[in-house]
Amino acid sequence: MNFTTAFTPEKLQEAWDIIQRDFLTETWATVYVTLLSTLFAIVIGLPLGCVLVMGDAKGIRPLPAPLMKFLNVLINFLRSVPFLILIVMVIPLTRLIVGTSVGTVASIVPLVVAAFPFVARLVEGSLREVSPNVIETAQSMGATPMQILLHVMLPESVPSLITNFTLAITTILGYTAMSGAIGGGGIGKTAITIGYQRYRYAVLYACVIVLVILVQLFQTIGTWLARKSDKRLKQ
Amino acid sequence: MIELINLSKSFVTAAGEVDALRGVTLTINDGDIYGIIGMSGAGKSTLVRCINMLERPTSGDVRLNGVSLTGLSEAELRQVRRRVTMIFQGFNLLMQRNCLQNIMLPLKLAGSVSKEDAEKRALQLLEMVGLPDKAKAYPAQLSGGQQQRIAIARALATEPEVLLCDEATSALDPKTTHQILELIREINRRLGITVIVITHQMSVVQEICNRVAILENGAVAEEGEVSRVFTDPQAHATQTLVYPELADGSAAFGTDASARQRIRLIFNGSEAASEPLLSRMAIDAGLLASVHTASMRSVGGKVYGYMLLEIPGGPNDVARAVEYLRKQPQVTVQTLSAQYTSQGGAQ
Repeated sequence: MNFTTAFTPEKLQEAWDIIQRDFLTETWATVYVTLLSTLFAIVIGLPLGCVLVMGDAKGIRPLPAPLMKFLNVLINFLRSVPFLILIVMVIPLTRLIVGTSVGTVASIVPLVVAAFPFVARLVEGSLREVSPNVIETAQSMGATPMQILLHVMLPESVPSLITNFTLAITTILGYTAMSGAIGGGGIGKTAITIGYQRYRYAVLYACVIVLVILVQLFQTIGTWLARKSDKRLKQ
Repeated sequence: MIELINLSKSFVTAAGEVDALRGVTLTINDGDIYGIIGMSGAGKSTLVRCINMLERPTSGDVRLNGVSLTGLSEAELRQVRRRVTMIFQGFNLLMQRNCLQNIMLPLKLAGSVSKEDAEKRALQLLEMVGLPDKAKAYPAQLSGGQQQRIAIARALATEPEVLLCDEATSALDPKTTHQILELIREINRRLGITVIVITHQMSVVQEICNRVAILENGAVAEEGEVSRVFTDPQAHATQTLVYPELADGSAAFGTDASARQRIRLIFNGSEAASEPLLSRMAIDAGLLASVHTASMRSVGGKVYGYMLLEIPGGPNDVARAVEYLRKQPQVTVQTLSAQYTSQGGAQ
């Protein structure tokens, strides 16, 4: 990278043209891919996290040990594959679901596959924070395991779940930059393909600024929601 | 009526098998406020959880109105748990739900009443526990005593026959403890609910229970009417709880040179403590006595407690004082030379 030639007036003018042309659509692509991927990851990860806690040998509805072992190994496996490799690994699945393995929509599949085990672990952590005394109290009222989950464990861990889902969003946002590798759109792709591969360093930095703003935005909203939902803090 | 029949429970821990309960047999009659007291680790918490089968006993049986609970399925036990409800040391309210929602929870779980009826009942219960204005408040906004009141209201929502109190006042200050015990007593009287009180505090038993069982190492050391147990604590565990100061037998007399001049007077529930006993002894027998330590309490209008007296003068005076005091009704006299025995109060 040569800074003396990267930020000449002509280069900056060119960068500004690219920004005006691409940034709105690419930022939008990043936002919707991130939100959709997070949504699907929660749809799969939330129930899975519940199963991990409830089905544990010491849980309130123990499930067969081999099943629990399988789920844990699967989650650990998916979490240990680097995202870039995972994208390639799930190409057949992506084709099956989306019909193609390239493009912005296609990039959602590997994102979800990478994120749902992460979300499951986060949900597991949130639910395990619920006081065992409160769970015992529910049992003493004659609650079924399912009622304990729905009426006690999930409502009690809402603030913690919001905090953890915010963490998931920001992590998935980071992953979207890599999905440019299979033609997924977004501000990360712009940074790599235009900013880095075509030496428009000013564009690269502009992309980074947009990403930073997005992370700040998600984090601020998430923190605010978590705090607002937490009745322990209301005085 | 609740019958515990030869109840045993053992846990397998890393340190090996632990017997939490060893053959506990108790009968709790309808309308009782029954105290189960013991030091920590005596097995009280396990015992109370066996009554509603949160812990399944290893052997023995629990019978509720003649029905054996050990033979019931989980689904049947869930029904039983609506009739045998529980309050806890830590209150255990849902912190993300307001008071009304907390009280309605058992009804919601039972699914037996409409939302409107559940709300109506919850509001009545709020009134009953003295917090009618806290319906929309969250537990975090309440004091410990108020939280326990909400927990009591919640426990009463399904109109139970039995209320189990697991160290329900142990996290509260003495004044709040008194108020909560008053409330429990009122519930017992007004609704005729049988109450089982698990505690390590003798003062709690003294204040509200009519019967008590003393648990030691997972077994019942002593059982009976509270007034009887206070009058004449038989088991060492009971003596330790009733008179913690006397717990270590002969050491209670002191270890200094004048220990042999000391007499322990035990008041077994009478008007003795309100009489000028020592002044009368001075007049009648010409014997002086100074009070070394004393602890008195009133149970059901009668006085229980002890005094450690020191008799100046020689062994003769001590012997005469013992002789004089033994003639008094409902007073037990002990001396160091009489060899304190740990099992059964020696005379």
